[in-house]
Amino acid sequence: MSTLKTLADLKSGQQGKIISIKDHHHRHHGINQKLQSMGILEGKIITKVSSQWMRGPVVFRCGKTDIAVGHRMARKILVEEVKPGENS
Amino acid sequence: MKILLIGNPNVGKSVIFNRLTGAHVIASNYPGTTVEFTQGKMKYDHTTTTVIDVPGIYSLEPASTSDEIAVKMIEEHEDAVLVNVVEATNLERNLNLTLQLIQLNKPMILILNFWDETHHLGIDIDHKKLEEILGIPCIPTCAVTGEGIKTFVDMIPQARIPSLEFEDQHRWDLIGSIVKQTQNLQHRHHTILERIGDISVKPVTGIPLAVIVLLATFKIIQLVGEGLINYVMDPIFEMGWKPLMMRLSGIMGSQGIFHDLIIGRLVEGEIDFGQSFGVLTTGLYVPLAAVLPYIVAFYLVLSFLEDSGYLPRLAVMVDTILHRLGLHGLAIVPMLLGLGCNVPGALATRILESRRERFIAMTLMAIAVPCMALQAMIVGLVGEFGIKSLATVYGTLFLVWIVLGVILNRILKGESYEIFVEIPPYRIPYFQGLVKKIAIRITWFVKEAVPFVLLGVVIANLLYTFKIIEVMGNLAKPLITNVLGLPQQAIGALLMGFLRKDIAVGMLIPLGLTEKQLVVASLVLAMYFPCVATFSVLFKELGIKDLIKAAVIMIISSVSVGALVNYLYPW
Repeated sequence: MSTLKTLADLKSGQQGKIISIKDHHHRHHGINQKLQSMGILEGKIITKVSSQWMRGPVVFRCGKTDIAVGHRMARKILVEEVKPGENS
Repeated sequence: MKILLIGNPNVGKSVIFNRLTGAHVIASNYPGTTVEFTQGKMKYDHTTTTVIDVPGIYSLEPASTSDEIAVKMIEEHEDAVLVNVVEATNLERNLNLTLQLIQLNKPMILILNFWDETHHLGIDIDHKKLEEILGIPCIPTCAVTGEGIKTFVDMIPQARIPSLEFEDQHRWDLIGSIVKQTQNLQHRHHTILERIGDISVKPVTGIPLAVIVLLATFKIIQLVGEGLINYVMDPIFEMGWKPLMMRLSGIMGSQGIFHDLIIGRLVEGEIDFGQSFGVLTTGLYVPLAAVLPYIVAFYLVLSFLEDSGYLPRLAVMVDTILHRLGLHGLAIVPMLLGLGCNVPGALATRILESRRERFIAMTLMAIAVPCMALQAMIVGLVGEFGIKSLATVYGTLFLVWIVLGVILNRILKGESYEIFVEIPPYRIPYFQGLVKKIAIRITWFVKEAVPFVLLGVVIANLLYTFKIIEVMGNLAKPLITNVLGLPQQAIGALLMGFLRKDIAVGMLIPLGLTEKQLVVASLVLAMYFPCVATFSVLFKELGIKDLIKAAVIMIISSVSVGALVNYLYPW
């Protein structure tokens, strides 16, 4: 059982299972809802593709979908690290 | 009959729309400030069907303002057949919207687009099985090549109310089970396009790639633009049009007010397309021979970039910089469009969420993003002095863009949002689609620009004839001459620049300015005000209060930058 991390803390190429997505009050419409409508839900396995220097956006993959989110949003997505092959 | 095309963003709805309304006859073009097809007519088998292209949505529970508009469109057209366009390569995510649409209990039909890609990606979908489960026709298509579109059109009368029933809280479970029953994935290696996809968003490889792409973009625009001018448009005007116009000039007696309006003033007994300033000479030459080649080149490259899927990746790479300007990465898209023409650029700022972001983006664009018409003329005017003066103009504009953005971000109230964007897979642009898109944009430019340029030439002539320029020049002398170091006649160019930037630059040619004066004049013309077409879009998008605010910023920054360069430019 690995520890909880945020998507921002994962390294590129690492996978994580979504534990929770904290609502992002920064937007009128919750980031949570937006991600949900794209099928990015708790329990899904996501792979971090890249992050940019100086707290730039994070790109991650969920199934066939690649999504870029801002760094602050990436810190709201709580994941449990998953070793490749395991659980997927 | 009426059909609504509904689906996630970027699943090919608009391509299908073009196929339906264009392939079988009359495409209706509803005029706006830009060519935007949202509604059109399809004629087939003696029936006319109204086709409506609804903006892309992920869900019927709106998560943004544009989602709300789409949901409202679906509600408004109660009697319409719902055509759910689905990306076959991403069935699971797309089915979320499909199931929500199913619950509306309306006649429905499903299109599995990108069917050809599923084969390359090792995805095997049993569309008959899907049809059985959902209880509506499911038709595989490849919209860009037109495959399956005819089958779809034939099936429209067979759209039916879905038979599938379920409780909403089990939606995602149901999606999982549908995908399991209908889709079979084969293991396969990553394709080359997917590898490039990852490379282009990792900083170590993505930043150099972004730099290369942008440099290549400018180089290609320059090469294609210059090539078209030197080998196509100049020969046509010099060898074909000029003899005709010289004959006409002779018939009209080589001088007089009417002659000067139509043909312009002769320079050493000859027509000079840059300087004569007649409606049929300079008025046609500037938009068609000097500017159009660059417009063609620009939209060629931009349309390719758009269709390839690179722009969202570029947005990720430049996000950190744009963040300092109170924008996020996606704002690079309207900025790039603005380099072609500020009008579609300003409209494209609608992809930004907050009013603050849109104000910053439009103000920066109007001041520091020169449109192709302006650039073509600046290159023609300043370029002969070499790369140094061109670099000064472009470098200064870029610096202004950054510095002004940082300042606006500091002083403006309100909030700017972070980037949130789906990154589509790379696709190799489909040639015919690309050609069509470029053709639409060029037609739009010609229709928009040529009348304004002709009008501008007429007005410029009137201003000279009635000595208005002289009067204005005397009034503006303290500012123009003392602060900016320009001759007072330059006021004519500044006045006309409000109508069209390209004619304004043309009016500077006969003044015989020095290198420094040309650099200053180019900068001031670029920055002080956008052209009237852009201005009216800014008015519509921002409202009068913010437009005045933006205009004050424009005047202050153009005068101060012009003065600064005038005092600092070393020769």
